[in-house]
Amino acid sequence: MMEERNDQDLAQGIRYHFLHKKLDELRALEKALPAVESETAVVRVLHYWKPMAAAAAVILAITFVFLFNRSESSEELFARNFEPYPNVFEPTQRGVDGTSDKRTSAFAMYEQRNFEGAATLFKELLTEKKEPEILLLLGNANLALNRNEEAKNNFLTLIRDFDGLDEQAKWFLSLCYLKSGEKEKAKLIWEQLGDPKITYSEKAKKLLNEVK
Amino acid sequence: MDKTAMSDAELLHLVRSGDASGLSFVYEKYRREYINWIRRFGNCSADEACEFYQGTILIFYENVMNGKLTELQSSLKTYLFGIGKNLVMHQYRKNVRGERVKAEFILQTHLADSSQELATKDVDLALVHRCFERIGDPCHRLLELFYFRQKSMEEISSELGYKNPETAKNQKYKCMERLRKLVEDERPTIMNVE
Repeated sequence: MMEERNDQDLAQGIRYHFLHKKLDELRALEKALPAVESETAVVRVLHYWKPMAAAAAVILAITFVFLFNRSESSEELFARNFEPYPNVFEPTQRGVDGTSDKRTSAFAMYEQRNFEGAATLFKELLTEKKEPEILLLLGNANLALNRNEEAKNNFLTLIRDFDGLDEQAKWFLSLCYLKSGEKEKAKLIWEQLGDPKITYSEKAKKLLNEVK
Repeated sequence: MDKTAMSDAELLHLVRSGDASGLSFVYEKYRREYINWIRRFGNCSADEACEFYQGTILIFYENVMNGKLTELQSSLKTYLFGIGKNLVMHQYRKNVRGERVKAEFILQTHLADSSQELATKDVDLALVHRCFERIGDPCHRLLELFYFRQKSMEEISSELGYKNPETAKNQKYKCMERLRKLVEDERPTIMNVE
């Protein structure tokens, strides 16, 4: 048994050898290629909204800005930076029959970007048990639905009551502050997220430079 | 042959043949689209998107070389994006502290997850890698064919010109003993670390 285990250890090392060599080649190739330009804000909006909803959203945003004298650049920055956090917690499968329970339905609706339906079910689930993953996705759903204050509460609760999703919660909370024009609060968070070890550091630094 | 005119099946065949230009071509072909997609889906930075992409290509490469992927059920693009989606979900579940993703970490996780149960969790991959580089042929080639390419003893015997599969199996045993000795000699101990 011990010898079998040692063989498997060596086998894993042998696989690692060939894959690591290939990784070195890919890294060299990557260095030789030009940087991938990220898609423009317009293309990202079209990816995010269905075409008709995208046109309506732009008209609404302009009206909103005009009526409420909100900083146009904050809205543009928000639109450019907000992408709902993916459902990495309970991915749903296609083709599942219609007898899904509330939990499965909630995550499925979120994946399908039916944020209204997802938010309703997530709120019900939270009354049964508070879970950090659900709070994160509910906050995102509320943010997507323009329920900024509710989204803020979701992320603040997540930061206060749980560990493990703090960076994500802070990032989206900063976007809530950006959306509501509370730039100083947003900037404080971006400074905290600026540690290079953190996933959001690059985005946070970029926003710090853009928001004066 | 002009690779831009190749079908997905032809590209797969080229990668499997060991022609390095095949994998490079695949890498360049899907790079931009994948990276832009995973930046949105994975909510990640440009650097991390690159790391995910390299991890994806490595997994694709191993699956082709070990015969796990012989025929595409969908397009090559769908296959690669499918790997990427699983990687994002897997990495986020394991790495919820928000630390940066690295292709090296993806590679090691993939190896640990796809190894048979008997492998220990704390195998020193770098040590085995260094020792394997020094082992030389025929062992290097034989062990590559068996563990990386997942060939049978019959196939190995035929390719390397052994008398029969039993002879190849005996040679494999000797090669593993050599490798094991190299690893043991290299492994730091209390006695030889000062």
